[in-house]
This record gives sequence, C-alpha cells and structure tokens, in this order.
Amino acid sequence: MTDMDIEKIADFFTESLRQVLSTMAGFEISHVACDQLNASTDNPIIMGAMVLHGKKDAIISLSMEKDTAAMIIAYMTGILPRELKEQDLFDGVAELVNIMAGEVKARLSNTPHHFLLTSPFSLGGTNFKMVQKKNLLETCRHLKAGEMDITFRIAYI
Amino acid sequence: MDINLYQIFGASTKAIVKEMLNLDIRGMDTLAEETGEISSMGVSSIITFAGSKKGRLLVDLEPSLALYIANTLLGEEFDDIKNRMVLSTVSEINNIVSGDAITKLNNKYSMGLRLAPPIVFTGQDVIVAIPKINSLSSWGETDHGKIRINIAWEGGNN
Amino acid sequence: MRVLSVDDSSMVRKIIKGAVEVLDGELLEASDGIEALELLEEEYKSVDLILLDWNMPRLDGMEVLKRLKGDRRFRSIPVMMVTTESERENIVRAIQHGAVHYLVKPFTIEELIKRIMESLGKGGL
Repeated sequence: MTDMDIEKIADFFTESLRQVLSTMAGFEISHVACDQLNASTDNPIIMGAMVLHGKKDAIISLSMEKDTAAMIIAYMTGILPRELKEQDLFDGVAELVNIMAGEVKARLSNTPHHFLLTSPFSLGGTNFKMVQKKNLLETCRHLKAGEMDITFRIAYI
Repeated sequence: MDINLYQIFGASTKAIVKEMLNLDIRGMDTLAEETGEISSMGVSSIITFAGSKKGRLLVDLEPSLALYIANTLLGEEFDDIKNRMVLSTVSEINNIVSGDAITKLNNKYSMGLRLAPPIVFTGQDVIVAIPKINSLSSWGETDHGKIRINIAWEGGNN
Repeated sequence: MRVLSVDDSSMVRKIIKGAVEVLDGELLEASDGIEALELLEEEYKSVDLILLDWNMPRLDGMEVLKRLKGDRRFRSIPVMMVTTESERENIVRAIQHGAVHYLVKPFTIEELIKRIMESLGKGGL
C-alpha cells in the first residue's frame, strides 16, 4: 500500500458516493481539497463508518452535519426532513456507507486491494473526537453539494 | 448462537482490568439484548474481528474510569478525556481484551479470527448506532466508574 | 398488489415504500430474514412480490431465498434481490437459486418501479 494507492482508492470511494447521491438523491457533488483531517465543528454531526477487512485493514467514514444528513435522506426517501427521526438519520448514513463500500468492493475484487465488508455503524454527537492508532496511512476528500459539506476519510490501520 | 461467544468477552475484560490495573469489576455477569442505539457514557472504543465469523466489541467507559485507566497505566495526571493519550490508552485496553478473547475462541473453536485495530471516540451526547447487527451488552462497575461492553456477531444472537 | 420488503435499512424500506405507493400497492416490511419468514407464515397468500436484501443480521438474503424456494407455500412468490452485492458470482448465485431480478444499489426510483413491474410480470412502464 503506497500513498498513490490510497489516493486512487479514495477516488474510487468518492466516485461511488458521487454516483450514489446523484442516482438516489439527485445531488451533484464536487470535491475540494481536504486539508482538515482533524477538523471539528460545534454543530451536531453524524458519522457513518465501516471497517474493511483486507490484506491491510482500513476504516472508512463519512461525516456530515445532522442537517445535511436530514436533507440527503429526505431527498432519497421523499420524506420531509422534519418528519425524519434521529434513528432514520443514523440508519440512512450507515446505509450510504454500505452502498458506497459495496460498489468499491466489487471494483477492487481480483486486485491486491480487495476487501470484505463489515457491518456499518453510525456515531452522532457534538464536539466529537475520534482517534485511531498513530502513523496511519490516511487521506480524505471534502465534498460539496450546494451548501452541504460531507467529509470522506479512509485510513489503513 | 453459542452464548460462550459473548460471555468470553466479559471474562476477558474482568481479567485484563484486574491484571493491568489491579481493579475489580463488579457485575458484568449477565447479558442483555440491545435493541436500539447505544448512548456512550463518555469514551467508547470499537474493534472488529473477522475469520470464519465476523463480529465486534464495543467498550464504553465513564469519563472518570477512562481517566483513571490512562493515569494509572501511563503514570501521568490527565484531566481531559479528549487527550489523545487517554483515548489511545482506552483503545489499547480494548485491543488487549479482544486479543485475549479471540485467542481463546480461536483455540476452542478454530475460528481463525483476527483483529482490526480499534477506533476510539468521545464527544458530547455521543450515540452509537449499528443498524445491521444485533448485539448483547453487559454492565460492570468499578470504584472509579462504570464500564459496559457490547458484543455483536454477524448472524445474530440466536 | 402487496410487496414485502426485507431490508435491515429503514431508509431503503422507505424508498421502496415510495415506489410501491406509486404503483398503488401496499408494502409489508421486515428488517431481517427471520422476521420475513415469520411474517410470511401469516401473509404468504396475499404477497405478490418479495424484495430481498443480501447482507442482514440473523439470516442473510441468500439463505432466505433458499428457504423460500424450498417451501412449496412460498415458492411461487417472485423474489427480486435489492442489494449492494454487485459481484457477478453473487448475481449468478441468486438467479440460480430462483431470484427473478437483481437490482444493485444505488438505483433510481424509476429503475426500481420498472423492475417491480417486470418482476410482477407486468412489463416495464
């Protein structure tokens, strides 16, 4: 696994997410440089994550403010954001990660970077901090859909 | 599913905490099904393992206990649970507990399990939701705060 | 028309509900394979189509499919897989075990409606 490999794999995930959001929610996303691996916000956030088991294990995550999650899930389900329960948001963000990872899993099968999916999970809260072990090979992508911001991270652990 | 696949994590948690910190965990003898989201007590760590089955362990600690563990093991006086060293210590405890438990499971059932390194997180009113997997929790109490472990195996609890 | 959606994601079930309602149908929901089989014990006579996810807790979609096709009461209900499992060998496996259609997530609502119609033998829109 090299810096170049992880950047290429991160691009696969970004492309998959772009496709998921375009197909299922009608959002077009663009991506801008991600220079805030440890950025934090005071607003409530929801993060969907999944551990990928491969030759080298990885963790991927997708984080966004709660309002952004509500907007995305609303467009995907056709249900008004105010009618969505918190449980729907946790479930929806975890499912986004699941769909995105499923697509990339198929793309990387028969390559040295193939992996197995595990159950996605979601975390929510404010003043949130997540730590993995040091010296990870990691990268991120900052994605924008209109006013909405989404951060994708991948770390090989 | 064999209840031993769950109980072994409680036994390992008690044994490792006693051995490394000389701290007794009271309780942690029963398991209860978690049906919804899990509200973190302060600091939580998740580790996943895969082999012939896939599963994961969540260790959830009250802030006072997380700080006690870090201060005792590292010999320093941390007072902020967001300190990277505190979080890393909690993560390491999870790693050791899971390593102990899955070694026993591998020896007993030849499951070929291996661990992925843990992640640890903290925040205000943090909620953990694992929609695709059913899980069992076990609670314990120490002189420095509460601890909960939550174990899940894909394929469910039955 | 009554459709049973078996998916552990409530978001996906909500999307499917929207599509079924467009077709003036009614949606029954189960969040895993065990729940689906229990529900079918009571409802199988009035279920016209089953939409089945693959990766679910307790009992996965492939196992559910095998049990459905192995039970003469449920055998005739068409099953469409709706899943993230997009590897060719899994698609082939599902079709070999009796699935009539295989829809990979992500999908558009139009695609979903079209596949539901096709699975019911009513052709596309």
